[in-house]
Amino acid sequence: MIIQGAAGTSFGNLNPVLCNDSGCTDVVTFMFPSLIGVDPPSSSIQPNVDGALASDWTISEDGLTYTFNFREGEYTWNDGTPISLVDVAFSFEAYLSGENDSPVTDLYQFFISDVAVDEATQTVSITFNEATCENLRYAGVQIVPAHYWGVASVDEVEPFDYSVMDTDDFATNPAISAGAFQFRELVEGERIVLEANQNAPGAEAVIPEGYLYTLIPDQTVIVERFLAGELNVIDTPQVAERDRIRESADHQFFEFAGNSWDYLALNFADPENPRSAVYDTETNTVTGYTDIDGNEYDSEVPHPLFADTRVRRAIQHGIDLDAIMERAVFGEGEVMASSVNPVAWSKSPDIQPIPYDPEMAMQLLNEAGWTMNDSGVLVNEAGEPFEFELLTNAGNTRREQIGELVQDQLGQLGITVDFVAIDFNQLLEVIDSQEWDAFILGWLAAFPFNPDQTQLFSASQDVVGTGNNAQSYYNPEFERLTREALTVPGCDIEERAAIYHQLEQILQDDQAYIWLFVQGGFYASSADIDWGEGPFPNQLWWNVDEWTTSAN
Amino acid sequence: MTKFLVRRILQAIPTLFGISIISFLLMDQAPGDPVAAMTFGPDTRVEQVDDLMERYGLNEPVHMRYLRWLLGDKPIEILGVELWEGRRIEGRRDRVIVGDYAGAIRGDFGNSLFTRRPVDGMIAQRLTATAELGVISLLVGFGLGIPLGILAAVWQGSLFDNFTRIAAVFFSAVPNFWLGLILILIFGVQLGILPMGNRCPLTIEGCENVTDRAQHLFLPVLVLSTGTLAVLSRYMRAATLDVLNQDYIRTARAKGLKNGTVWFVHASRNALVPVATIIGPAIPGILGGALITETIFAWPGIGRLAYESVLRQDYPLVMAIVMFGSVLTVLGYLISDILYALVDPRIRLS
Repeated sequence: MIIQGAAGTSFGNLNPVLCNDSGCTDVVTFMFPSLIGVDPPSSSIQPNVDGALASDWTISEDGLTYTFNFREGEYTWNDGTPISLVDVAFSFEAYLSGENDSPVTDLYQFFISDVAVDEATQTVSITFNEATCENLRYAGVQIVPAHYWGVASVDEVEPFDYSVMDTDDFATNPAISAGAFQFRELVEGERIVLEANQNAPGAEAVIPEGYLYTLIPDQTVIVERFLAGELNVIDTPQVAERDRIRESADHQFFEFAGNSWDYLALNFADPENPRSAVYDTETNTVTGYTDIDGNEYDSEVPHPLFADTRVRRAIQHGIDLDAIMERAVFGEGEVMASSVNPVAWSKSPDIQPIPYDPEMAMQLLNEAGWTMNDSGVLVNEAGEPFEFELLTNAGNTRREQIGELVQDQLGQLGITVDFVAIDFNQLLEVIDSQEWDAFILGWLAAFPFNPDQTQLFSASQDVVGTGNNAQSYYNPEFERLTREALTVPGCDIEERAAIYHQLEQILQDDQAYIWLFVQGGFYASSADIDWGEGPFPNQLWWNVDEWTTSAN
Repeated sequence: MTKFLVRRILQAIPTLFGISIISFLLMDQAPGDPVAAMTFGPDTRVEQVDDLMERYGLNEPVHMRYLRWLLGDKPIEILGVELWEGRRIEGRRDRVIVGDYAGAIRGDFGNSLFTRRPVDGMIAQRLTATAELGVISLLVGFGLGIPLGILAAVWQGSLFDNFTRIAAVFFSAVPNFWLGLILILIFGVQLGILPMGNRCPLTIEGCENVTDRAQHLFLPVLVLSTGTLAVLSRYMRAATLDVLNQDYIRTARAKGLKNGTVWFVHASRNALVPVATIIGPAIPGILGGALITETIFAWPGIGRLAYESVLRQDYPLVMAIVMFGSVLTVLGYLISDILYALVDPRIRLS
C-alpha cells in the first residue's frame, strides 16, 4: 500500500531545525525521531513512548534540570549508524545556536539555558531558565544525524558552524533519517515521496511501502480527487464536503473536536490611546503603561463601549452560535465555553458555553446604561448610538459569514456593527497597533494542548506593535493563578487542573474574548485501509507503520 | 542588428535597477510584515517576534534592507579595500559568524524567509514546470489561433466564422478556475479518462513515459490556451480582413495563385504585424498568467510560488521572481521588436 495524502501548502524545509510550516512539519515528523514523545490515548507527553529516544526522565529538586535516560544502542539511522548522544547534543545546539535561520531558536533560548550529555551514564540533562510544569514541551525537539555534517563526537558539537544548514542540501534531500519513512524524492511544489524504513525506531515493521504527499492547493479539488480514489487519506477536508465522504460506502472517517477555533475579540482599551503594559515579571503585575512615544501612564484609557463587563457579556448572549455554526461550518463544530479546547485535560467539565439569550443581553445592556430608542437603535443617556467596527480577514469565507451573522444578530439588539473584511496582513498590522474596536480571528491550538494561556491573556503580552494580548485584557488574579498553575510543586496534574478550572472561570466571567466555536476535526481514508488502534484526536499518523489494506 | 541588441541590453540595466527599487519600496509599503505572519499563533511570545525581526534584519530602515538585498551580508573587498562591510551574525556563546549571503548583484538572491532555502533553487525547480505548461499552451494558442483567425476572415459571414467568433467571446469571458473545475468534473470525475491534476501520476515512480506527461498536460493546456486562442483568433481575423481588401492581394489572385497561397503566404505575413505585438507580453505572461490554472490542477509552477510568496511577504522570493519576470519582459519586447522587422520589411532595426 502506498499512502496518498494531500497538502494545501508547500513543503518548506525538510531539515527539522529549519522547518517552519505545516507542510514540512507533517513530513519531518515521519522521518526524524524526538527525544520524548506523545502518548496517543492520553494525548500527553509520557515516558516510554515507542520511538522516542529517551525512555524516561527525572526532575531535579529545584525543578530546573530534567535528566533523560537515553535508549542507548536501541535505534539506528537508516544508514545503519546508531543514534547516539552526539546526535542529541548536536541537534539541540543546532536549534539553540542562533547561527542558522531556525525559526524556533529564540523560543528555545528563552526556555532552555543549557543542554549537556553524559556518555558514561547515557543521559541528557536539559536545564531550563525557569522551573515550570510545561518545560517538557521544549524538550521534544526532533533529532538530526550529526554524522551527516561530519560531527562524530560530543567535543565537535560546540565548535561546529551551524550556519551551513542554511545552504546545504539536507533541506531538500534529507538522505539520513530515522522515522517510519525515509526520503526518496522531492519534486518542488508538487510532491514528496517517502518510502518505508524497515529500521524505524519503535516499529517492528513498516507495512505501507511508501507515503506520497501531494501538494494540491485547491481544497475542493482535494476532496474530488479523494472521492475519485486518486488519494486514499484526507486530513480535515472542507466542511461543506464532509457529508459526501460520510455517505460514501468506499470511505471511512473519524471525527473529533478539532484544534482550530475562532473568537471575537473586543478591545478593553481605547483604540485612540493605545498603550503597552509595563509588566513586572517578579510580581507578575502591571506597574504602569507607556504609549508608542514612551510616555508613561498609571492606567489604560478604557474602551468607551467594551470596558464594561456587562456589555461584553451582553454581546456574548446576543450571538446565536448554533445558527452561526450551522451557516458558517455546516454545524461541523462545537460551541466553546472559553478558550480551552473541549477535550483538553485542563477543561473544566462544569463550565458550559454561555447561552444565546437576547433578553438577558438587553437586560445587561439596560443595566449598563444603554436603551433601545423608538427607531430600534441602542443609545446611551446622551443619545449616542452603540456602534463599532468589526474586522476580519478577507477571503476567509467562514469568518466573513460569522461577521455578517454577528452584524445581523447584534443589529436586532439595536447595535450597529460596521463589518469590514480586510487583507490578512493588513488586519495583523491593525490588530498589533491596538487601534481597533473588535475583530474576528482564529487560533490553531498547539498539540498536545498547552494549558498555559500566558501568550493570549497575560498583560506581559500587551505590547503595542506586537503581542497577542492586543485587546489589553488584564486581571491580576489571572496572572497570579497562571504562574501558580505553571509552578505547582511536583506538577501534579489534578492539582494543576483545579487551578486551570479557576482560570477558565475567570476568563469566561471576564469575557476576555467573545467565545465562538472550535471547528470539528475530521480524518478519512478509503474503506480498505485498516487504521489499527487509531486514529485519536489530532493524531492521524501515530501508528501509520501498522496500517494495512485489504486491497493488498 | 548586433549594435541594436547591445544597445537594448545596456538600456535594460537601469530599467532592471529601477524595477528592483520600485518593487522593494512597494513591498515595504504593503501592510503587515513577514514575521507577523510567520509567528502568528497562540503560543508566540512578544520577545520571539522582536528577536526574529532583528535576526532577519527587518528592523532596519528600508534603504538598508534594499542595500542588503542588493549587496548581501558578505563583505565586498576590492584590492584589500572593504567597500561593503556586510553583516556579522551573533551566535551563541558570543561567536560571530560573517554572513555568506552574497546579494543580488553577485547573483545570490538569498534564502526564502519561510522555507529558509535559497530562492534561486526554488525558482529553478519550478521553472521547468511553468515553461512546459506555458510554452505548450502558447504554441497551441498561436498554432490554432492564427489559422482559425485567417479562415474566419476569408470565410467572413459563414457558419464557421460565426461559430469561431462566438466561441472566442465565450472563452475570453469564461474564468479559468471555472473552466478548470468543470473539465476536472467531466474528464476526471465523470468519465475518468484524464488525471485531475499534478504533473505526473500519484505513484511512487511518478511519470514513467511521455504518455503520462501528455495526459497530465492535456487539461491545463486546454484551459490555459483557450484564452490566447480566443484573443489571437479575433486579432488575426480583424487583421486578415484588412489585408484581404488590399490591392496586392487582388494582384495575387489575378496572377492565378491558389487560395491557400494567397491566404497563408501573402495575406498572413502582413496580418501578422499586429499579432507580433501580442508576443512581447505573452512571454512574461507565461510566468504569471498561469496562477489559477496551476492552483486548480496542482501544477508545480512558478505562478503559484509567486502568489504564495506575495501573500507571505517573503521578500527575497518575491524580489527574485520579480527580477526574473522583468528580465523575461525585457526579453519578450526585444523578441517582439525583432519579429516586427522580420514580418514587416518597412521596419529596420537600428
